[in-house]
Amino acid sequence: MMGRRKARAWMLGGAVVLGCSGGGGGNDDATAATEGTGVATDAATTAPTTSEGTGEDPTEGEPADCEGPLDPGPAPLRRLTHSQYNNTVRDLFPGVTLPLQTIAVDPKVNGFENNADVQTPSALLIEQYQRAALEVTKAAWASPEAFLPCAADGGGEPQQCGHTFLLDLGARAFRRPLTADEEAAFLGFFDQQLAETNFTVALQLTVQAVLQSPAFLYFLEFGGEPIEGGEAVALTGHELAARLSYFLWDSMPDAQLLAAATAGDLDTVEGLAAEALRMLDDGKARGALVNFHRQWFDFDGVALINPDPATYPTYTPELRTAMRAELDRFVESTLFDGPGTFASLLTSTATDVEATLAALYGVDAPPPGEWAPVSLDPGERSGILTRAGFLARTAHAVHPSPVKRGVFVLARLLCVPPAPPPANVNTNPPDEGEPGQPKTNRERYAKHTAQADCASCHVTIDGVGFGFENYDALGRWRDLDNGEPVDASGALIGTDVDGSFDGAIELSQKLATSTQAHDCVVSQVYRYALGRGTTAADLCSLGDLRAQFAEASGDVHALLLAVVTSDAFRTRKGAP
Amino acid sequence: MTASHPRMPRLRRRSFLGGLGLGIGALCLPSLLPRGARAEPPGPVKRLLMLMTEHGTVYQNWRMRPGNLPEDTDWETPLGALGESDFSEILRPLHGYRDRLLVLDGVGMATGHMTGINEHEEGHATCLTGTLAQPVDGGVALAAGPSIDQIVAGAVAEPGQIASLQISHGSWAYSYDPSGKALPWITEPWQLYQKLFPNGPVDPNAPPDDLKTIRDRQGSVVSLVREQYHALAPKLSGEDKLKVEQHRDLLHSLGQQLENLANIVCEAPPEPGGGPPWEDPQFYFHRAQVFTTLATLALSCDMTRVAMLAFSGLRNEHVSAPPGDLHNDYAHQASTDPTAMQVMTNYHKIHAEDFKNILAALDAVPSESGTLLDDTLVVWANELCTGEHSMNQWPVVMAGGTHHFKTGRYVRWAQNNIIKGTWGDEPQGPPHNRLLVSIARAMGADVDQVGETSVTLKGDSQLPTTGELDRLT
Repeated sequence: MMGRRKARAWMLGGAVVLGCSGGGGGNDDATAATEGTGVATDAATTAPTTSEGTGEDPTEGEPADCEGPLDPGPAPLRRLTHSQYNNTVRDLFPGVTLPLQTIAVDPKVNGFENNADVQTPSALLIEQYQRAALEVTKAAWASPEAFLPCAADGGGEPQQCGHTFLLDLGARAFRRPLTADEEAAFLGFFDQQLAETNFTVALQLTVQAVLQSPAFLYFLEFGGEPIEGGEAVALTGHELAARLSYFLWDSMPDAQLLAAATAGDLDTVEGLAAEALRMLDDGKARGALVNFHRQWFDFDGVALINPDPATYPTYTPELRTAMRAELDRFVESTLFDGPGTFASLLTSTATDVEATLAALYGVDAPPPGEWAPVSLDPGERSGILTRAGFLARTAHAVHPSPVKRGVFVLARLLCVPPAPPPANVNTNPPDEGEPGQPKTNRERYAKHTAQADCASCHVTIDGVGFGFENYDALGRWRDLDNGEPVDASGALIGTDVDGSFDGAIELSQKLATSTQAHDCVVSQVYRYALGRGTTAADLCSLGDLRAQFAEASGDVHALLLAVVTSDAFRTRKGAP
Repeated sequence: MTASHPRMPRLRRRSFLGGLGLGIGALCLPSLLPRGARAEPPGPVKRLLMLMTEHGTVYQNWRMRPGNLPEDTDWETPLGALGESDFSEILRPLHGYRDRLLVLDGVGMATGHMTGINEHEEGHATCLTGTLAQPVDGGVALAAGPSIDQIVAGAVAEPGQIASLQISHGSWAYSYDPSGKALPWITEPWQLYQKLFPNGPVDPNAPPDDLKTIRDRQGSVVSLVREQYHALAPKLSGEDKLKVEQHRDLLHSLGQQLENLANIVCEAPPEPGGGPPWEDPQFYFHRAQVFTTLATLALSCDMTRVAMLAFSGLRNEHVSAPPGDLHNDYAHQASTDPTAMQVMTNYHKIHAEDFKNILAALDAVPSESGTLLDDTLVVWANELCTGEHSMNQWPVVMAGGTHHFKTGRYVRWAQNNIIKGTWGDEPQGPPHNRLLVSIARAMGADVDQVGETSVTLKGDSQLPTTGELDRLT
């Protein structure tokens, strides 16, 4: 087992390699969209609030002694997310088209849908798994020749064919070979059903059982070798392969990864990193990394925008769909075909547009129904915070919301979520248009900072949010608001890049250089990778990863590699 | 049913159902009568249907003060004597059901004043659990115990039934499991349909095929899977073990449910179509009607005895609102700004119509002791008390359940308990925990507390929150 220092030393080398390969520019290959994100039954994104979090970050502050015994932090039992379920059954039956299955989305924590603490089983969920298993096998058996090692009716040796198929499928579904008990249970069940029905029925029923089993739905980790000097145990190769593939692919390990696990290749940092690098080159990594950003930046919220038609007569559902799709494309092309850094997500002017978005951004439109790469006006756009989808999601029906925009930046990009407003506070800005009343959106919101009990938080929130006043509720650029010149000056307070700025472009550029923002990215990726919140026990791990991310100049792939080779990712505390 | 109740003519139900585009109106009404294979227990079956809505209410336009009855004493007034114009603007749509209503004015959500977090989170977590909200770092607060629908489900659901239905237009949870974790919900009409009728409309003349054989044998699949969870549980500890045991036990219930649903005679209507697109204002009404109809069907066929309907998603065009954000620009000043007050009054009137539609659907199903409405306690409540996030004077309307509560009344409690809240003193009536206890006991749950057992008053004395709420029966 490699120690922390050695792993980090390896990463320094790895980052250099990535730094060289991350360049490029064209996004000709930016057509793949996220796959298999499932159908949400949880619509928590409609939550009627503009605030989140408690204003506390348990991972702020100085770490304890990081040279002491290894503490990888908690490792609560995790379950497949709705998107992982759909991606996994897709990969279990290659060559077959499966309909997306409805699996309840677990409650979001920091935007992420994979937090183990709230992954509680419920009657609805258990029933959805049962129904999904039925639907998956039904759809798969429309073309059994794609995956069966024998004729659809079992051929001359139906029992043998069934056993062969089930042992192979079981090992892929459970991400490890079946135990002797499992083998006896599933093959015995198949034999019994075969005796009572027929090959097709017996096999489908047994596969349905596999798809509802704990070894499939849950990430069972018991660990292997104890780590010297601490409470932790190293994960087994197969357990690590599962963590790796669901982090980097949002789906099951492929044959090569399982073979690497069996061969013990994942027991070394070098072997683990080699597999991770291979996986990042696979198309599935694109969808998975976009899926991470979908949750982090709440792309789903775009689907719920409801602009006022009188104010925005050009708005159409098609534009909304395009705004949403652009965010996927932007993240993918920036991180896989572009510079690949967190900073570039905040500064890039490259994007993909179709006709409705081209009109919104004021660039040449591609032919109807097509998408094309364009370069946006650098005087108006800089990265994801200036893309229409983000701006429209953080607006009300008529006016943009400096509060939503400010809270998002503080909570999700700087990891300093503001506290919610106290009870019975009138959070409504005053009406416009009346004598003596404010004329611009900014003036309306300025009331927040004029009231002493609001000012303590809103000086900070609106200080960020006002920087976006050049964008209306659709995300269109504006120089005038209600006929008055836009004032988009703002200020960052309580950050490592404090000070005034003018507009979202300067704000984005400041964030792109902020160590605090980069440290926050590490926290978000870490939470997502481990499926849990961060605790004080994670300070050492986070400190290591933050240093590596900085040394890799904010290269996102380097950060992913640093995470998978970290102790926290490779080990867990003793018995579950 | 009560003698003076204006019984809905049968044709009315036909037209109501027929308007769904579901084709349910084509069903023969007798098929809606409970005729499950199970023998009915003595006495009427206990059922609970809850409608939860958002943004508190506009109290001035919700409350009733016939004859200028005073604010500072407890009183009640019969609803039967009130004309339609005597009803408050928001509750006016319910006038036709006045003899079946029990309107509760003045109950307080004291436990919502205790944690100091965002009141929307606080309200969702506490309104039906009576527990203190448990903040989640970076997420929506959870509760510390089960919600009333789950408590009731534990008392009335029989093996094989769907213990409870959670149906929602979206937003946050109202239902919490015994550990206070939020329960997921169904948001799509077709999901609800498939849950109730997993095999769709069955043609009894169709020859058996592989798919039917597979469906018939789901019980054995679930049984095999359950054994896997059973074998795994002893290898885990703590929360991990609890999850696996919970999963295992839910599989047991699912196995029984699969077997039982297959035996229930409940004519499956055609699957609901897609309905209007999201942009269309009819989107909301279509879903509300499908949810109402299918929930009624599930109750009438005794597939379930507990249903939770969470309705939200009304937009400016529904409530004649000028441009602006319903939540931030209107709900938050619904008590002070005249435009906001009217907008939010319109909003709550629509939900009153929703509640009326639920009552009409239940009342159109005959039962042995009247109609399904008599056998079902229907409760309309809210995540909050007012749009300004107040937790005082929770707007609650109960209906039906005529075997348990004395309906046809408007009951007012004076605000004489001064709660020591996080942000200051809050005058309230009785704590809502006691109403939850009353509902639980009426449904046969042998409990004396729901959630907290006391709250702190000004001066630091404790106000007990246990026992039934008086003046309901």
